Parts: sequence; structure tokens; C-alpha cells
Amino acid sequence: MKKQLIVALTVSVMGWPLMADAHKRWLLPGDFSLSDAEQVSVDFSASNNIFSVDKGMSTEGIEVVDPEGEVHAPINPVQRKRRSIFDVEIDKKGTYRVLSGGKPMYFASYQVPDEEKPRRDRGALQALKAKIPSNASNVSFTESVSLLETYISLGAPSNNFGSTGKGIELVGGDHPNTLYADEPSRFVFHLNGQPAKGLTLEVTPDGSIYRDEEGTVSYTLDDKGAAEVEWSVAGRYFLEVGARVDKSDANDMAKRYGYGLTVEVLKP
Amino acid sequence: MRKLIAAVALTAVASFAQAERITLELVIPEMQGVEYHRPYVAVWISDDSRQIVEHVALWVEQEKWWRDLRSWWRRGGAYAQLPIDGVSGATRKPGTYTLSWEGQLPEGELTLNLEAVREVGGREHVRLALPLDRNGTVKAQGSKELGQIVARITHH
Repeated sequence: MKKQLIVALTVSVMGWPLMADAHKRWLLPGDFSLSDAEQVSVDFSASNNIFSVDKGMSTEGIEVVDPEGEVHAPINPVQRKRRSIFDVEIDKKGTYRVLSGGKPMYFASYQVPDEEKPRRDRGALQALKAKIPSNASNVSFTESVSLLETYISLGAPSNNFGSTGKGIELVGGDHPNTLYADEPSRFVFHLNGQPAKGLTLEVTPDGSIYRDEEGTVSYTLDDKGAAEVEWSVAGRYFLEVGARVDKSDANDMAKRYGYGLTVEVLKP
Repeated sequence: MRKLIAAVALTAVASFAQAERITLELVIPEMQGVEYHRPYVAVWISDDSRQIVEHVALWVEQEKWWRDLRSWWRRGGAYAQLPIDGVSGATRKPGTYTLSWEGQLPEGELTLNLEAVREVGGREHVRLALPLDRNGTVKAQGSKELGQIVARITHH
């Protein structure tokens, strides 16, 4: 059995200028825990300073999964220059999962004779392959599965974790709407349906623009893909996990996995 | 058949012999300020795992703000079905209030919790440990959203 090389990786990776991943991309809902039905406003932006808007992201592919598993489209999504916004109707008791991405995207890199630099492209796999000229060399593909999500509950929270078995997913631990600053919280991740053992979880508190350092704390996921996170203060936090699998005999293409979760930690 | 009924009757009498009564006096302080909203107040009894064992009082208005009673919400309020007879009701204006609660309590360490939060105001959570023998008086003094609190518990 050929071994796969899985490398823990921060999201700010080099070499992929087509993706705004030198920044963090994030969702930020206006409410996380409700006691009455509301329409919740959610921001979607990419930025260096967490939760300070900088570049509005495309609202295509945003999904809202309600407590019964029904999938809804976002309400009135709009992509503006610095931030994108959409609304989510929270009216059923339990937990809603709001997400962007999670589906495979493909990147290609190839060298065309007489051109200085390799060309890069992205899109659906077959469409990408069709665009590559026959005289191209050093052709390589990368599959990328990148998921951003957040959870919003009305009343008592319910289990509404993702379970596609593709990419990095939050599958268990403390419910994201039950986090308090006086207790550590456990998060359990899977990579492609298996415990995300050995990957790195990075946790960044809100407001890095008002600090002299990022404030990111890293945790290594254990055999179960779990980590216990300690909260320094109450507030919003961004949790990220990334991984890269190199091309090998077992894989015809390199794989990149990304995951970002926005949570709220309350003052006890 | 007669023996069985007698046994059941005896058991019923025996279980009520272990009831506790709590008489609680609490003060909602006067506030000087431009915009005053009556506080949302939750009173509950929790066990050593901090979960709600009994709801004692819940003075609330709009459902939208119930979750701002953060400790109550966290420890079981999110799961509560309202209204609760004899427990839930409207918010009250500043003053001294006397409540009484009667029922059976589990053994062990129990805490009487009082939480108050005001719209455009502060939040306070006061805890009083109940005597293990379920007989006695405990007092506490809130510092902002609650005033003097006196709880008398008797066992009968």
C-alpha cells in the first residue's frame, strides 16, 4: 500500500495566487444563539485581520442546512466590494448550519513552450483538461476542497454537523453554540471521513487589528482528530484546519484541504 | 389486593415527608438613568454539575431576550418549555419581592441561583449554597442588578 504524505498546513499557503488564501476567508453571523425566531444577517469577506472586512466574496455556493436537514438558499445575497452579505431565516428550533464551499474545485498548472511562466487555471476538471494545449508540458492538477461554516441555533442546540466524508469536516465535540470562556471546548474533525489525526488546528480571536500579534494558538489534533481549545476571552473566534496531500503513486493529483469555522464564546 | 393498596398509600405519605420549602426575599434595586427597562430575572436551583434541577422563578417579556439570561440559558433554560406554572411571569419593577417554592430536592450540594439582566443595562448572577441539611437561612448581596437576597429553607 503506497503511503500518502499528508502535511499539516496553514491556510495562508504560497503558490496559488488565484485563490485569496493568503487572507482568511470567513463567514460572520450577527447572531449565534437565539431564543426567538429571527432573520440573521451574515457577512462573508476575506481579510488579513480577522473579522475586519476587506474583500467581498462570491455568494454562489452558500447553503443553509436547517435542523431537519433541508437545504435553503441564502436570502438576498449581495456581493459588495469589501464585504458580501446575506440573510438566513432562523425559525425552526435547533441548529442551522451555514456553509460556503465544501465541494471539490480543480487547479491546473502547465508550461507552454516559449512562455516564461507556467499557466495556471481553475474550474471543473473536464473543462480544465480540455483547455490544456497538446504541446503543454509539466501538467499538474490539484484538487481542492475548502469549506467555511458557522452554526446558528434557536433554543436548544441540535446535532447538525456535516457528513459528506469529503475534505475536512467538524463532526463532534462541544456544540459550537455552547462555548463559554470559563471552560475549554473540544472539537473533533474528520478528513475524508476518517479522524483528522495529526493535523493542526489554529484558533484566532476577533480583533487582531487591535493587537500587536495575530494571537493565533495552534493545537495538534489527536488520534480521534480532536483538540481541547482554551479560550482566552469571550468573543468571536476563527478556527482553521488545513492539509495537503502530495501527488504520489497512489494519487494522480495533489490534494489541498481547507476548513474554517466561526464561533462565539460567551462570558460565563 | 387490599394489602397492595395499603402499601402504596404508605409510600405516598412517606415521600411527602421529605419536602423542602424555600422562602426567598429578593430586592430589585431602583436605578437612576435615562432609559430604564425592568430586569429579566431567573431563579433556579442547580446541582453540583451546575445543571438546573428546579426552576423557581422566571420574570421575562420578549422571547428574543431570554437568551441574555446567559447562565440560565446555558444550564437548562434553552431546553425549558414555557410557561411554567407558578414560576414564569412578567418582569417586575424595582422593589422587594417574596417568593416561596415547595417541593422535593435531591441530596447533595445544591446552589440557589439568581440572575438578572436589563435591556440597555447590566447583568448579574448571584449564587447561594443551600445548607446540606436543608434547614437554615442564607443571604447574599447583589452589587448592581440585584439587591439584598435572603433565602430561608426548611425541611418538613
